[in-house]
Amino acid sequence: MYRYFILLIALITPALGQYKLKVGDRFPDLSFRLINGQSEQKFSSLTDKKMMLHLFASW
Amino acid sequence: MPGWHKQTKKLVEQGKLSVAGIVQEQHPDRASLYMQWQQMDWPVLADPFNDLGIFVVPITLLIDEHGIIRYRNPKARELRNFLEIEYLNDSKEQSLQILPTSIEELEKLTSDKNLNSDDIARTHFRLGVAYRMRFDSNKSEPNDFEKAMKHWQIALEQNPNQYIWRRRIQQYGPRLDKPYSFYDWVVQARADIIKRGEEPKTLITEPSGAEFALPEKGSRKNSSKNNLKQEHPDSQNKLTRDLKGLVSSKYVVVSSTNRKQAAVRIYLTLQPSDQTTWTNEAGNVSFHLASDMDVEIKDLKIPTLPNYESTIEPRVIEFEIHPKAGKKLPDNIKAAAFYYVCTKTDDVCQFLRQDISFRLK
Repeated sequence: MYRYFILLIALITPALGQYKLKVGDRFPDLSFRLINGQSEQKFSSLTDKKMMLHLFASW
Repeated sequence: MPGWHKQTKKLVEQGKLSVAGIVQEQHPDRASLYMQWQQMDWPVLADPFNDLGIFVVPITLLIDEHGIIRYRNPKARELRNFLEIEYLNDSKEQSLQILPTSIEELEKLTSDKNLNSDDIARTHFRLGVAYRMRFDSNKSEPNDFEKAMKHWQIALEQNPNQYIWRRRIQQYGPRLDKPYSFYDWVVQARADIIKRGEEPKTLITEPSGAEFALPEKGSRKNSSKNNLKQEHPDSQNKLTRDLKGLVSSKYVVVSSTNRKQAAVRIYLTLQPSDQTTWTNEAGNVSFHLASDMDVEIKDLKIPTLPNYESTIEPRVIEFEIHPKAGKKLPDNIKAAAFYYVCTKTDDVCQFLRQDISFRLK
């Protein structure tokens, strides 16, 4: 009896800056500028309580 | 989003929920005007480089106090559940790997052999953003807009499903390619804000003609107005050519993101030299195609004449080129710009013609 061992090596390089925004995932704690000012802040500084977050564009 | 704003206002006042936004736009200040118009006062962060790597908007997320996503595009009853449940801090941190934002670093990255194809595409998109940002700043360099379009096109070719990227090109592209007018709301927003007795927020970069333009199907009733045939100022081909470069010209061609659509939108910038001024009292710039072209000009937009006798600002003429029925879009077209200028050194004023050849492909 022959046994075949098939070894699959998946060379998966994670893409830079590509995040999962799936339910159960932690939202990436990136820094962004506020639209009404130049100050940059970490996303986590807004999440001291439960939050509704809208990802949008005005167009 | 305004619907959710009304539904959550009370919860926010009661301290049960916070609301925030992240805007995926080249010009985030436009979202600031939108927020003022809609009277939504929650914090909004700007992600012009698409650091989050999302493909579409809008997306609404419910995120617990630990920063973990619990609902994506929720319904009203799911919001109620979300507020009632006590969540555990049960998810790992996502590792943060951010691509740079500077033109120099991004240019280097485009030839980095260690990057996979997704990251190279993302690098090109970011380069487009960075070039367009510099174009809109006081540090603008020649060809910044052209480079932005080039890098956005490369990015989209590698990842045609990225709708955030596609919108950047469509923003400046031909009307055929537009799903709707992107910034027609700006006029209404300003009027409504002034009516309320407020001062509308100033935009750093005003939307251009293409950004206001309606998709071509929707704008047909206006087409006669937009495509008025102007009389050619030099049909006998005798007008003096601007051979001394009193006005320089450069252009950017924006193709449709849909390969089946042959139309292109062109941005022609005319800039008086150091020794030249526009003679506004004599008239505005004008633009005409050569008569033997198998193309039509549509949605021609000439800048408004300033209320001063003479000025030196760059003038951007926008228009679309469509092949005539049964014809293909040619590789090149010939056209001419006409303008009234005076030279400062000798105070000579002239009406001049500049012949321009546009490479479309």
